[in-house]
Amino acid sequence: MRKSFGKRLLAVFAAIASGFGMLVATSVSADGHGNYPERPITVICCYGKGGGSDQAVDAIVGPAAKIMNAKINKINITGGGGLNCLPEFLQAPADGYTLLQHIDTLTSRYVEGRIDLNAVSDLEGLVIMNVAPTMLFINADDERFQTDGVPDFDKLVEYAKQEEGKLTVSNINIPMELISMAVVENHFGFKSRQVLTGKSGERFGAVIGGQLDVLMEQPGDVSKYVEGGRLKPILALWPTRFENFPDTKATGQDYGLDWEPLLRFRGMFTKKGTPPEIVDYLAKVFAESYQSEEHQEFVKRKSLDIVDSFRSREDTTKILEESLGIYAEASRELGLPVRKGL
Amino acid sequence: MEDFLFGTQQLFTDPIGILIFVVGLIGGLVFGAVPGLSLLTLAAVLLPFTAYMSSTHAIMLYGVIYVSGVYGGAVTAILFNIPGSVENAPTAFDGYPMTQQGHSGKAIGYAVTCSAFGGTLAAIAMMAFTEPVADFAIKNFGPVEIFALVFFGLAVVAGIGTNSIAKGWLSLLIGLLIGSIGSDPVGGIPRFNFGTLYLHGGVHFIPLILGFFAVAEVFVQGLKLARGEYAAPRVSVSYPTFLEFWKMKFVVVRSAIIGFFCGVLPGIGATLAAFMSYNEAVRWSKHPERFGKGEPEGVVAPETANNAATGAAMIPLLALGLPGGALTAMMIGVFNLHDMDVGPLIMIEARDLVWVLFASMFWASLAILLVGVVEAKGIVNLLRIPFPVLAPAILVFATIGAFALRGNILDVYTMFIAGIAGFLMRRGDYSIPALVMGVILGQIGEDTFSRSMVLLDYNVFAFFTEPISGVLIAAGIITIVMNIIRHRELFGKYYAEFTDENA
Repeated sequence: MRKSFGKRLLAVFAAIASGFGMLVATSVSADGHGNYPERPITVICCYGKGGGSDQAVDAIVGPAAKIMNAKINKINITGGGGLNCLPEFLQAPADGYTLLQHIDTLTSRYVEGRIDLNAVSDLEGLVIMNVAPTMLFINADDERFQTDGVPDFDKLVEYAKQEEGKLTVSNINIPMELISMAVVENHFGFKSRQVLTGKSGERFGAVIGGQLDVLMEQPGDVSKYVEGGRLKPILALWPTRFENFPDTKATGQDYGLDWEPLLRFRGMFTKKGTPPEIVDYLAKVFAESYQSEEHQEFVKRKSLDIVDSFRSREDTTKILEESLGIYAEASRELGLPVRKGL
Repeated sequence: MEDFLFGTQQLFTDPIGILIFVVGLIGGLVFGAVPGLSLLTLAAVLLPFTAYMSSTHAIMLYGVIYVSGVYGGAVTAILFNIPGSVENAPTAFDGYPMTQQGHSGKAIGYAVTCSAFGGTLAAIAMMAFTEPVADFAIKNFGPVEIFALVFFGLAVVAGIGTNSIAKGWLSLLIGLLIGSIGSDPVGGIPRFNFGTLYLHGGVHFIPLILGFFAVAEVFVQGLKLARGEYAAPRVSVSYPTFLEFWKMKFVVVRSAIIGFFCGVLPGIGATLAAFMSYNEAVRWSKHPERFGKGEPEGVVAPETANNAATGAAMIPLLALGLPGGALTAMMIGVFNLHDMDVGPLIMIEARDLVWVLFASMFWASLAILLVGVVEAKGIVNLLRIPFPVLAPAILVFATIGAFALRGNILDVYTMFIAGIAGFLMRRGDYSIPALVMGVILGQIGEDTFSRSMVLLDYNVFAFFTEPISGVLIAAGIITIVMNIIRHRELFGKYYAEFTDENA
C-alpha cells in the first residue's frame, strides 16, 4: 500500500517537474528587446488594493503585458503613507524586472527630508499615466453644506469657522493632500481635523457613512460614488471650474485663490543603473500601452482626462524636477521642513 | 426568492458556468490548503484570464474561490499546524492539538460543517440585507468603535494557550511589540527597524505564522523523536455526531453573527472575524482553560466566522464599492476589467450578474459539505506518512511559502527565527496564540486608535462617551479584572514571594 502511494507521489512530482521545465522553456523564448523580458516582471504598487494607484497599475500593466508578451505580476506593499514599499524595491537588482509604481509622494517626502531617495537622480522615470487635480467631496445626504440640494462651499466654511476645529476631513498622509488642505484653510481662514488613513475603502467609507464631514480626493477615484449619489463635489482646487462639474465652485475662479495647484501624478519607475536599452524599451511599451484602446477607456471612465494624464519618459523627468521646486516653495510658505539645498 | 431561483437557474443551465464553478471550488480548496499559496495566490494568477471570460463567469469564479479557499486553509491548520492563510490561524490553536489527541476526523468534520453553515447563513443574509446592513455598518462603525472591538479582543486573548496568566500577558505584549516594528501606520515614522531596510516595512505576518506554527511544531516533534517520546497522531475519520454538533449551537450562532458583522466592516474582513469569534468562544466558555489544548469550540468558532465573513464582505463591496479585504479588492479589478463599477448602481445595472454571484456563493457553501468531506477523508491519510519523511516536507513547503510571498530570502530567515522562538516559548509554557493575536490585532488597533484620538480630541476617556465603544471598552476592562480575580491566587503567591524576598 505504501509502495503504491510512493509511486503515485513520484509520478506527481515528475509531472510537476516536467511542467516546470516546459514553463521555463516557454519563457526563455519570449519575444522582447534583446532577450528582455525573459521572466515575469514584478510591479510594486505602494498603495492599497482597489484604490486609485492600484487601478492605475492594473490599467497600464494589462496592455503592456500584451505588448511585451510577458507576465507582469503586481504586489501591493502598503503603509507608511506609501513609503513602506521602498525597501522591497531598493533591495531588488537594477535589471528591469522589478518596477515601482509611485506617486508625487516620492518628491514631496524627499523635499521634507523623510526619505533620501531622490526620484530625479536615483530612479529612471518610465511614464506618468495619471495626472489628476484634487477636489473636496461631501456626503450627498449632508444637508448642512447644501443649498437646495446643491453643495455650497460657503456654508461649509461658515460651519468650520463657527465650530472651530470641529470640521473633520478624511484624508491621506501624503504631502500633496496635506499641503493642498493647508492652503485652502489658510485662504478661507478656518482649521479642520485631518483623519488620515491609507486604506481607500475606509477613507471613502468614513464620509459615505457620515462619520467624517469632508473627503479630499481626486475625482476619478470616487467617480462611482458620485455617479451613485453617495458623494457630491463641493470644491475644485483648480483655477477654473471643471467641464465635468460645472456647478462645483473652483478655488481660483470663484474665490480668487492665486495658487498653482498641486497635482496627483502616478508613474512607473525603475532603478537607476538599469541597462539603458531596457529603460528605453519599457518607456516605449508604457507609452504604447497608454494609447491603447483598453487604457483610453479607463482614462475616460475614471475622468482622468480633466487634464492631460500622459507624460513621456522625458516629461516624467521634467515633472519630477519641477515638483521638487514646487513642494520646496509650498512647504516654506507653510512653515514646513524643507531639505537643505533645495 | 425569484431572483435567487433565477441566479441558480443561470448557474446550473450553463455548462461552462458549471465547469467554472467546479474549478473554482476545487481550486479554492487546494490553494487554500497549501501554505504560502493561499486563495489570494490563485485569485491573483487568474485575474488576467478573467478578461477572456464573460463578466458573469468571472465574478462568479471569484465568489466561489473566496468561499472554498477560506475553508481549504483549515485542513492543513488542523492536520499539520500550518494555517493555509491568516484567517485560519486560530483554527490551528485547537485543531492541531485535536489531531495530536487522535481526533483529526472530528476536527475536520467540525471545520467542514461549520464552514458550510457559516458560509450558507451569510449567503442568505447577504441576499436579504445587502443595502440596509451595509448602511448600518458604515454609519455606526468607525475607527473609535473598531478600536474598542480590538481592545475587547486583546483583553480576552491573554488567557489562551497557557496555564499562566502572567505568561499569557507577556506573550501578548511581545506580539504587540513585534506588530509595532517597522513604521507607524499613520505617519510612516520609522521605529524599531535598527536602520535596516527589511524591517522598515514591518515583519510580514505569513513568515511569522509559518515559523511559530509549522517550524516550531517540527522542532517540538523532532525533539520528542530524538528522546524516543514521539507518538504518531492517530488517523481518525470519525465525524462528530449530531449530538456533538447540537452542543455547539450557541458557539455557531454567535460566531456566525460575529463573522458576518466583521465581514461587513470595510477593510477588516475574515481575519478579524476568525480571531474575534475565537476570543468570544473563550470568553463565553465554562472551561476557558481547555482552549489551545484541543477544545472543539476553538475549531468551530473561527471556521464558522471566517466563512460567514466571506458572504458579508460582498455587502459593502456590492452596495458601496468598498472592499472588505484583499480578495474583494481583486473583485473590484474583475468588475473593472469588464467595464463595470461596483457600488450603489450595480444592483440596477447588473442585477442578473449579482444574483448569479449570490446563488453561486450559496451553492458553493453547501458544496463544501460534500466536497470537503470527500477531501478530508482522503487527506487525513497524510498523517500515515512517517514523521522523518513528513517533517522535511513540512519545512520545504513552509520555506517555499515564506519565500514565494515576495521573493525575499529574509522572510525565510524570519520564519526560522520565529520557529526557534516558538519552540522555546512552547517549552516555557508561553502562549503562541496570544502572541500571534497581539501582532495582528495590535496593528489594526494602533491604526484605529491613532485616528480615534484625532476624532476624540486626544481624550482617551471619550471612548466611554460613544455608546458602542463605551460598552466594548467597559467589557474589555471587566474581562481583564475578571481574569485577574480568577488568577488572584497566582498573583497572591507572586506578591507573597516578592514581599518575602524584599522584607
